[in-house]
Amino acid sequence: MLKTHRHTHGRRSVLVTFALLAAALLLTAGRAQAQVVRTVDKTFTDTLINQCTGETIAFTGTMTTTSSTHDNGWRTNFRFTTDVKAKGVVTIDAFGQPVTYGASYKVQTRVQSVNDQLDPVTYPFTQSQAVDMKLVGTGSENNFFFRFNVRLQINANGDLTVFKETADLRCENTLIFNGTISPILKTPYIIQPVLDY
Amino acid sequence: MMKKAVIALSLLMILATAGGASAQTVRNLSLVNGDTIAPARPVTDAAGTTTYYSAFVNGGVAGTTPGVFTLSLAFRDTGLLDPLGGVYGGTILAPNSSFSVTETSGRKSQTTSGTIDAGFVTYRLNPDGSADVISVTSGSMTIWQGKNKSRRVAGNGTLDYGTAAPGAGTLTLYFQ
Repeated sequence: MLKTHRHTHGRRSVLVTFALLAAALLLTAGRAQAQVVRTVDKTFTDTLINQCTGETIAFTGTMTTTSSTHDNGWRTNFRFTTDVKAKGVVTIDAFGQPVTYGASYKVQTRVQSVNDQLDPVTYPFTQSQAVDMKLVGTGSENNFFFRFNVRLQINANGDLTVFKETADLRCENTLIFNGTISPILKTPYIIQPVLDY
Repeated sequence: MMKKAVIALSLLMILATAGGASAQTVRNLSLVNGDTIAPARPVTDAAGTTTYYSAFVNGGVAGTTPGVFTLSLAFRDTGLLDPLGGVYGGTILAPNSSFSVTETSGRKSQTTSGTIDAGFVTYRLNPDGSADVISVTSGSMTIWQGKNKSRRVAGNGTLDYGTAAPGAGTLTLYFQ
């Protein structure tokens, strides 16, 4: 008898839980609207400057952009991601001169941004952005690596409570920098190549 | 009595001078090879106002060991400025906009960063509605040091990017 009662009670609580979950889902579904848009450009062409050397690299590859918007009725959250994977060659050297047979590079960049926005726009607010850039030359070419993160939060009073920015820059095998030739070759982290002739 | 008064006066003058002569370091940085790495994404609110978020401008700093500057920008559209050139204007949204300068120091990088508190942006629209930044001007920037609770104002700065020449400009930082 006791067992049966427990069973009935258990079923009831399961039913109640399901009903509550269903109600919560329905309520959330009524308010939350998510939209994801993804575009792929397979013939993306652009130019980029290797900040370690000052060389201009023309590249062709794929750019994938994903944007998602999530609106729950009182807060809208945006996420944007841009990925570029490409191959390129140096077309303009560090002295600003055109190059016919330039060094080859692999180009990889990712930019990711997250933004909160309230409806209507008020605080609190969160925003972050992360950037990862890689320019990798074949063999002992000049590599450029740059990572950047910024995150900020504003509280309900409109005060900036979190501001955090970090960046990491690496130049590898840098033979030329801003039009000046470095005397040191093929050494990782050669970063002081300003010479007086 | 007279001697004491002179000494007191001298001390007072020294203290006053010391207070007024607090050193301020100024750094003028030449920005070169700037480009919009990630265009700004538009969001239009119910009132029809378009706000652009998450623009990312990246370039080099001339005259130093390899250095990189970044501008992370959000701005509110103020309308078409040049119909022929397709140039639009916008006001900087604070504190959603920030800057950084990263320089290599030995095997490590050193970053100076802060918020762009006010300013003006010009931009050009891409076919997908996103915006490429042409210029950014600001006379009101704050340099921050430290993180979260230990964060403090380390100075202020001004920025003039892309107005005289595309992708180039000046960032002036005044350290307290």
